Amino acid sequence: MANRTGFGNRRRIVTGDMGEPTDLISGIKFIFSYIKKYWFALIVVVILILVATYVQVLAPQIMADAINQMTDYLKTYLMKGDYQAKYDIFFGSIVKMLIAYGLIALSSFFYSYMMAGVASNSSAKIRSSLFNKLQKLSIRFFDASNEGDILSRFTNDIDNITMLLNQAFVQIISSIALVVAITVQMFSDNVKLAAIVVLLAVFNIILVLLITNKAKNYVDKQQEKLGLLNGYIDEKITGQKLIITTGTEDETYNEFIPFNEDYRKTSQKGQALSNILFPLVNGIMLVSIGCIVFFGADQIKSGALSVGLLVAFITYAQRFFQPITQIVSQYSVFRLALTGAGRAKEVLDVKEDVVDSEKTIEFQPIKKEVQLKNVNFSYKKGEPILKNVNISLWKGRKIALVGPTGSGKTTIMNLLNRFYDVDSGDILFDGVSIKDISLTSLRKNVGIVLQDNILFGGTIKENIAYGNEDASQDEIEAAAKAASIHDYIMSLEKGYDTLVDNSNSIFSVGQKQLICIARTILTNPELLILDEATSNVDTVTEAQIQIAINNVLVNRTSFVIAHRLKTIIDADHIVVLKDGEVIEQGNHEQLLALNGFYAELYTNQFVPSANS
Amino acid sequence: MKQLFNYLMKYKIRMFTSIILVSITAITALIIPKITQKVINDGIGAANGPDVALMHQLGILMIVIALIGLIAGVVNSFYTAYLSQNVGADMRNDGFKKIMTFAYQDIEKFKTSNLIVRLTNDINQIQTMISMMFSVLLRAPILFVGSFILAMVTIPKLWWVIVILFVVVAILLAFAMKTIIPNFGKYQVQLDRINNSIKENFEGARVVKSFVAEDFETNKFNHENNLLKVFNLKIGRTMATILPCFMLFVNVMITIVIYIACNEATTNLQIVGEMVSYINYLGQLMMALVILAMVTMQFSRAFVSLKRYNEIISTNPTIIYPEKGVERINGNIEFKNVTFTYPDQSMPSIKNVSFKVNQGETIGIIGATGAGKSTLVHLMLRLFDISNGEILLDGINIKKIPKETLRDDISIVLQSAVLFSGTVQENLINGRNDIDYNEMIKAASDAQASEFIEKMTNSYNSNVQQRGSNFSGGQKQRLSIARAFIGDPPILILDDSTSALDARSERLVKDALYEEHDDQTVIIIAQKIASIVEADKIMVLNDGELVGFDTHQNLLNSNKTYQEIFNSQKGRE
Repeated sequence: MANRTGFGNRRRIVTGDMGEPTDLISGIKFIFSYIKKYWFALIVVVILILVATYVQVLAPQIMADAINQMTDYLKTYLMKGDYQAKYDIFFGSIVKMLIAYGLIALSSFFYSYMMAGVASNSSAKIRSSLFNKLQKLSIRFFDASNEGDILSRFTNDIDNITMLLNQAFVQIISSIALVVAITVQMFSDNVKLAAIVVLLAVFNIILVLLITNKAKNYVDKQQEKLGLLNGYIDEKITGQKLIITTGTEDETYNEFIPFNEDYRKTSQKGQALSNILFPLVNGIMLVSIGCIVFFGADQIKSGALSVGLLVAFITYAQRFFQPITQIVSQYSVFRLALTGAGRAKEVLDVKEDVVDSEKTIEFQPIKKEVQLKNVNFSYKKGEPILKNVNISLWKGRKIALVGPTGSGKTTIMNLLNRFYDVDSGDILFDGVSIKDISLTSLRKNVGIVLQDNILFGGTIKENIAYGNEDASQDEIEAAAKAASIHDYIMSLEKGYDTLVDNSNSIFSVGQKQLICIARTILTNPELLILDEATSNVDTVTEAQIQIAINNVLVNRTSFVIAHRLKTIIDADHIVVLKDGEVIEQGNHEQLLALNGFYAELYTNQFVPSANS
Repeated sequence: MKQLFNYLMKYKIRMFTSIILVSITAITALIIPKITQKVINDGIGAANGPDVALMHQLGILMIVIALIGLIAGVVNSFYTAYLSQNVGADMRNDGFKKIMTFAYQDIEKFKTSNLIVRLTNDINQIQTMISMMFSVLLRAPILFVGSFILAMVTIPKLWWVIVILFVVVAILLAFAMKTIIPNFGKYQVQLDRINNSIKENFEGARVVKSFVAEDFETNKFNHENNLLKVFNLKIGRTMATILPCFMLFVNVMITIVIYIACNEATTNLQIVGEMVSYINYLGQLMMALVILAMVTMQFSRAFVSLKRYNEIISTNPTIIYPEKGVERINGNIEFKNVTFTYPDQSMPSIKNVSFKVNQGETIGIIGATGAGKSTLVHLMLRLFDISNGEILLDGINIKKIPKETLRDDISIVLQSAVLFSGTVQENLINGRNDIDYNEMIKAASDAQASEFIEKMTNSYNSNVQQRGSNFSGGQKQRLSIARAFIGDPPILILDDSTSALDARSERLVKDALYEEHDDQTVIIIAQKIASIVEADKIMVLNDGELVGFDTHQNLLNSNKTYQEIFNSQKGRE
């Protein structure tokens, strides 16, 4: 009965539709916008490619000259003429050859070397601007997007762009240069012949376009499916501990198969269609040369074509077609890079919804109060989470927020830090709207200990000093002591330099919470928000922390979300939230006297149930 | 390499067909220029005027051969795509399957981001290599050997030219590989780190933003990104050096050949004609070398990837379960002198713990943060193997119990609730297809989850975002509890999993637990004594040791640690 087709509704990374293949122009424009910074290097590269191509076109001629002069010399030698002079001419040609080859090697070395620089630098730049963009996006994006798919954009898609710049770019440019050079040469020699050869090529190009038109859909789809596959792998491997404890490895594997199959099927088609181009175009061009030979023979016989012309014709066709097939053979790389560009661009084009307004001011120390005024909020239109909420957080006071799960407590915290913007109403810091305070200074002054605690890869010290890189060892230790985690850290072999990451078992969940509390204490915030910050910490430690926090953050305003009412009984003011509405508020005694929802919560927590 | 070969051998017939097809295209590529030459020399340039009949013949021959090459090439495109994508899919399949056998310890050793890159990017590199192998690479040796032999035969005297060429090419390639391979190794490792960095920024997006660490993270990322760039650059520049070197070298050899031929020709005129062919072959040899260099680059990368893939495949999961054994556990748990130390740590986390829990009992576990509560219950599931002592379930050593029994009969609600993207229902069912709808509804209602699920527009078919980001902490916990309730497992473990629940919901969950699950052994880790006060017995853990195991009242009377905890919670003055 389970809905096995569930992955159909799995979200794509960005809300906009991405079914359409990236169009050629915008893909090229995107890549160009990153390489144009290296315009000087690029111009040099192109010039060097042109030089190399020119010499390459010339080289066979020089060699032919050398061979002719050699025959010439030999004839003179055998006829006992003045062969020394001929020999010198021949030797001169040999030197010319060496110079030409040297020139080709040198210029191709320089352009490849420079291009490697341009390629590495610009793909690194794309990657870093993508990351930069991620940092600017709001929490809404992170909550709603497919992490694995984004990862795929950072690795596979940008890799494809690098491939294009590293190899294909030079080849495409030099092939185009060759085509142009040969076309010019052909037309200057014989317009009619040139026209026929070019027509043949045009026919081929049309064929290529027809195939690539089909192929590009598959290549685009291929990268999209790869993103989805990566998304699945990423999510499951990240959550593998759950999979292990529920023993659902086989089921997870079975669910993986259709993702893998989907990608296999599309990539197989895309690759086949891309691969087909080279042999097809190459073959057709060879067949056309065969036709030229076959029908040319008749033409010569009837005298319509001179011998010299036919030879020239065949050589042209050969030389003209070769670079075209070269370009075609790069199609797959080219298309993958364009698709990659499109997918990178998609992320870069996501609208940033929480941004600084035009005229923001710096956060000022709280003088009187922080006020939530008629706040309405919903994550999804039509499903309101907060309904006309009014709460005041007075300076230096401890305000507590209680209420059943899902009543919107964490959401209020999300709004106070401007992770999301309110739908209507306002949040005022001493009368100044939250939207008029610069995001950076707001968040620097609003400290928050989250429900889900995250450690970053690095040392314990780095984790506590997160966001306060300049903190001294003493300050870090003081914060750790306040959070009652100092002793445990010191019991570890490497103490504060112990390496941790979010998934290893050095810390228990409760200890992770303590680290996160230390982290926030260190920032010494104006407004401190604790969202279930000690829910997995034992009560003895919790009591110690509370005293320490009170000592460290004297005169700070704090806002505490907690389920263990014990921790908030001493709060100056308690707000009871239910279904997104403030239903009761007052201090502990007042609320108990009301004998309403709070009183019920309180009784529930402390009186053993009838069962025991 | 052997591994790759085995994967390819699965598609033997296709592989050999592909090899034949590539050979055909390569051979046609060798023949066509010969024919063209013949057309020009013997057809058009025949001594007594153009030989039309011969030209007709040669023209048709050319068309036929070109068509053969075309068809072989086109058909081979499909084979190549088939081979590369299928081998890739098979490897990904096996890799994923293998990872699914990993124990906690194995995942921690590899790190998740690293595993993900290996399964995706690394396998893509291998795919590209296979694709090249069956289109370009096979052509290179045929061209290489073909022109090599033909050149030798044409002017045997110049054998040394070929030998020098061969030696120098080998040296240059070896030099290139020596720089390229380690750099590709570093490149892939760096990709892991980049991936890890992005993953962290996803998981910790709220932390990053609330600590205004965007710039810090960006700098950190740029540092990693820069390293990636440096490795990329080294690879690119080595390639930029090697290719022109090849070309220059072959071209210089060609010039030398002409020069030598000239001096030879004074005594042996025939050599002039031979020389032209010889040079032609050298030219083809050069083409083959260029292909070889390109291929070398892709192959170096793929070999690095193959090695990384093999590391996954060759990892033996640290925990091996017996195939057969008991199919049902009743719920008796016994620890005999159990000591456990986490891998890579020196101090034991569980120290000589012994206790006995009988079927149907409800046990509470309490103790300071870091005392080993979670570790203790993880051992009951055999998520780690203990260092010393013995764990018995129904009197049977846990190491003799099959995995299916352990997982089906022991359910744990983890401390951090994990949800996967999909629907609510998919998350509750969690792949167990034999669960009936009413059972799911019942579990959801017992876990106090049905009230909010049913409020949502699509109810049980509502969408769950990645990491369950559209649910509150308490909702995620209630969904996790419901997931564990389903199937009435003989042993149910709640690892501090009601911490984000309000008191009322917690009360209701517990009532359901006591009423509905009489014969179930239930183990509850909690911070609040109120949560476990009704338990049959309570374990008190302190620094990895079991310092008390008794009823609430007895502990309160005699256990110092317990008294301390109790005092910190006295709230009802």
